[in-house]
Amino acid sequence: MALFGSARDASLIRHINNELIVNLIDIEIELYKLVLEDTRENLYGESDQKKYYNPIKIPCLIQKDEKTVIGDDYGIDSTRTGIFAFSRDYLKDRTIIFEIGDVLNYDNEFYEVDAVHGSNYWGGRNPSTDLGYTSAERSEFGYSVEVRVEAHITQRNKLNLVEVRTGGINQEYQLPKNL
Amino acid sequence: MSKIRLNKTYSSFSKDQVTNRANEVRRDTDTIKTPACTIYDVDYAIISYLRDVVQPTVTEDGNVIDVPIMYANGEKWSAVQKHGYMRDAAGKLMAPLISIKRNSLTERDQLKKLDVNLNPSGNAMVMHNAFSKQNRYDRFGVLTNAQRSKEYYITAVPEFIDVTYDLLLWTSYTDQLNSIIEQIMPTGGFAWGTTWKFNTQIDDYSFETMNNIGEDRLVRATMPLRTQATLLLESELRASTVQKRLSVKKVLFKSEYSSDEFPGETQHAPPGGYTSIRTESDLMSDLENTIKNRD
Repeated sequence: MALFGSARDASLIRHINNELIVNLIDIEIELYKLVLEDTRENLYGESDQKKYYNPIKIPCLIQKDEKTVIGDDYGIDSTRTGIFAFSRDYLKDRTIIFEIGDVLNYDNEFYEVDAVHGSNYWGGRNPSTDLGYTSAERSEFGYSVEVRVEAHITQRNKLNLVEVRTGGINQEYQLPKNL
Repeated sequence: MSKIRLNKTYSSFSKDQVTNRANEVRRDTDTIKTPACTIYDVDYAIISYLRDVVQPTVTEDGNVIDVPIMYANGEKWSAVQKHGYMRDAAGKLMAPLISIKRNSLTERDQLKKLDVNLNPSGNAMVMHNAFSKQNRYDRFGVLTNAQRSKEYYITAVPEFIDVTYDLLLWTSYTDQLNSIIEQIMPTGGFAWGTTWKFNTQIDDYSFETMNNIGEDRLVRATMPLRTQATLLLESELRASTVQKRLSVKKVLFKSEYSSDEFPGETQHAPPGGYTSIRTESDLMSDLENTIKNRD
């Protein structure tokens, strides 16, 4: 039986993580999830009238990569990727599930989720899948710390969340639509 | 002894060029514009036809929006600052978008010219102006039955070229791409342009839809265009391609009479003799007699 990494140790990490992310750092993003029942797709698996649930604010740690500028025949475009790390316990308590295709709003930029990772374990074990624990041979060890989401900035005209075709200058923040 | 005329002052091998005054006709008094059809005009014709005649639109979120059309690879300031309406608040380019790119320019095989160094004289097109200031109504011209003077404008034969373009279509959805193609396709073979017009064919369409991880989904198509155009520049080899010429003026002397004698009879009196010259008093007495006789 392992000496360290028991459920009691994991509880300490869990509380520190929670306090750090939710209370101290407190950076939040908005998560927009599509209402699949109301978003009709066409033959090509696309829809230009997407419907979303109300956004959910979630605290997280964010690593924004440098903006990459690309020039091709269509003009100069830019893209950026980012990694958003969430406390798994926070998401579990609120039944929040990240999926590819979800939209995140952070810093007035809209990110489309490319990948969702959940394999960062404290003590190298995930209690949910730890064979010793699941077969009741020993007590709980390890801790599944985070859910990590990789995303890229997407064209906001495809999202149908904000009005992009109207004029006006220095529009700070536009209220979402299609919710 | 007359002065010797030197005729090889510029070169030892060829004679000095003799000035032909027929070539020296002033052009600053006429209003005929020197026509020029440049490569820019051909590009402009294609883009203006798409922008002003085809005016492709797509439906996005229930709204009909015009599809911006631009020439590929403009300067950075133009692409980013001038065309800001094509970007969202974060500066990201938004679809739909049509970009046009010129690929090649070749001389048309069927209409090749015999371009040997200089255009040989006479290899030109002659156009006739219907009106000339010299033909304004003139009574003297009518009396003398003068011929109308004609103004001719001689232009060089243009270059006949084939220009190929790639019309790059980029939309958010395949449905929008279909819509743009459906709007442009019927114009294949038409004369594209708003001022200059050039016959334009659309070749095979190619489609590209990619959905790579870490990038936005791309829905793109390429339409190759083949335009039959003409090029006529304002000047070739520093000489204007349009020359003005005037019809040949002739002065005809049809007949000439020459005699030492005056043609009239001066020696003999006319039959009945000469009448005397009547004075004013004679006229008054004649008038009085006439009145008396009437009474």
